[in-house]
Amino acid sequence: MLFTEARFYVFLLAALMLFWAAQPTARARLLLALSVAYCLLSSLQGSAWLGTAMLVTWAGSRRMLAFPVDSSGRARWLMLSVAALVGMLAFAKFGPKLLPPVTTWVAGEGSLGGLPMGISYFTFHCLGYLLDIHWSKEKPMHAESLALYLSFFPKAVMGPIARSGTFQEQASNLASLRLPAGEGVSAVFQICIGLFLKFVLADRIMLFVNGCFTTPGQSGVPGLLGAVMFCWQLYYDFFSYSLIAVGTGRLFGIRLPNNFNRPFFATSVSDFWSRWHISLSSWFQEYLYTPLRFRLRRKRRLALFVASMTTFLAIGIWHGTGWTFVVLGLLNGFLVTAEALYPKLREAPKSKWLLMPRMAFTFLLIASTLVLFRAPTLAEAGSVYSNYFSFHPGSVKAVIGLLSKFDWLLLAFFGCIVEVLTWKQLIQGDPDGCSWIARIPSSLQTWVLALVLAMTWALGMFGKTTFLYNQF
Amino acid sequence: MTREDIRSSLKDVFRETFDGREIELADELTAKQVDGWNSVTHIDLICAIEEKFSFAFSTAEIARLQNVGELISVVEKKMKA
Repeated sequence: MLFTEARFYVFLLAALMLFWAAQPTARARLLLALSVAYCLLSSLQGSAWLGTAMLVTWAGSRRMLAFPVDSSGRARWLMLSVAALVGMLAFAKFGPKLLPPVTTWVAGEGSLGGLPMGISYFTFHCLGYLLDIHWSKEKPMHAESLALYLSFFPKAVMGPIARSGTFQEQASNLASLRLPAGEGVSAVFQICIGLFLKFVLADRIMLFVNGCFTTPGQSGVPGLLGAVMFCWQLYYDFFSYSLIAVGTGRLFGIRLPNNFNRPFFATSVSDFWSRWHISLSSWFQEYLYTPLRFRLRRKRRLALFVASMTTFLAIGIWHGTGWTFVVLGLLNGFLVTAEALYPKLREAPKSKWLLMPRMAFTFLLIASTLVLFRAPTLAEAGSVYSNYFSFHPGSVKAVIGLLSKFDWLLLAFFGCIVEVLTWKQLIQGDPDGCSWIARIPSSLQTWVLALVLAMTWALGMFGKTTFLYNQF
Repeated sequence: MTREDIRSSLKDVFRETFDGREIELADELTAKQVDGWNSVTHIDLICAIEEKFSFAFSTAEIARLQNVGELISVVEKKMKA
């Protein structure tokens, strides 16, 4: 049950009415029941995988807690639990490729990418919790709290990846929860903006990108244009999801982490990764990069190289099992490592006249690596790259013609507005975001929300659609 | 060593790690508040602290650090051990 489906909003409305009408002391349990219901309504097979992961995490954490911190017993149970969870994820990702008949059994009918619903995301939550317990970084959770943490429905399918300690603290305060003034309207506004970005912008750009990448002969300048537009599509698609997830979480008093912070204003590849899919990159930084580099710290530069390349390789493989994703990971790892070894590469220019060109260069570099994300094979990606700057008027005209003049004008107009609003932090994906709307008169609030929804309805590309990151 | 002695020694380490900048090490100070204190320089800082005080952190100790105050507490505990 994705955020693009009408039935989700029927579910959400019913869930909100039940939640706010319930006895305060019953809210946490009710939220768990609602999250379980959401998972079951979305996918029975996905729910079975989530339930299994919950059991492994719960059992593993209880066994770990029977041993002292830094003991070999605790480490052993950590390894076993991690192996089981990573094994489940690997089987789900690789099993169908090796044994196609397994696909339906693994994921269920209609699953995008052949994966159980949300498996990558809840696996990260499970692994993070187990490591937090291993390091004694967070307090252990009761079974119900752990179940709520893993299944909380606004983030169940595609994140954001929340930290166990922060989530637990908020969930434990649900009984005394009162939403601050203006929180509701800010959250609803985030959801409305998310819907607008998805249906009006992301899905419109998708038509163009699909056309660009399905005709290998149209590489060259169209290839560069396709890479740039795919970058925008991916951003609007996932940013829109994140806005809806964070806004929905706020309506239940749970503040989920922000996933995007104006990524196309980045001045280096490292800067970009601190602004893009933040909950994922910070998860990998905290649970893979830092511990690995720390373990190898005596090797200085070699440690930095190994930790960076391993982390980005893992991020690449997480996205997909093909060679394009391996190369995507290695390429980004190489660029980030180079910037770490030579900090001048990472520094933002001091002159404001150099800032825009630097941002543009970083954006083009990132868009170029994302060709690997989109192209189905290395050969196709190579074809795009090798003809990047070749210019054939006929093919450029054909590619531009994939969208109508109206579509191009709409994308240019609203694209500029969205970028200005995000630059000025008037559209934000964090749980305090979009709070400016709460400070304007309530009659105007209604008009703003109605206008956004009306524009979405009038200009949206409605069809069978999903979110790109749902396939991971 | 008192807590303030440790803080003073750490100021030297921070200065060396962050390009000679003087950084006021309040207990509540976090990495996000210091320009250039990122995942890369964090390990450089940890290595420099280990060399300065001649001990080794554990991975769990590093993972638990939330701010400078906790860092000072860990150093204090290890110096007394």
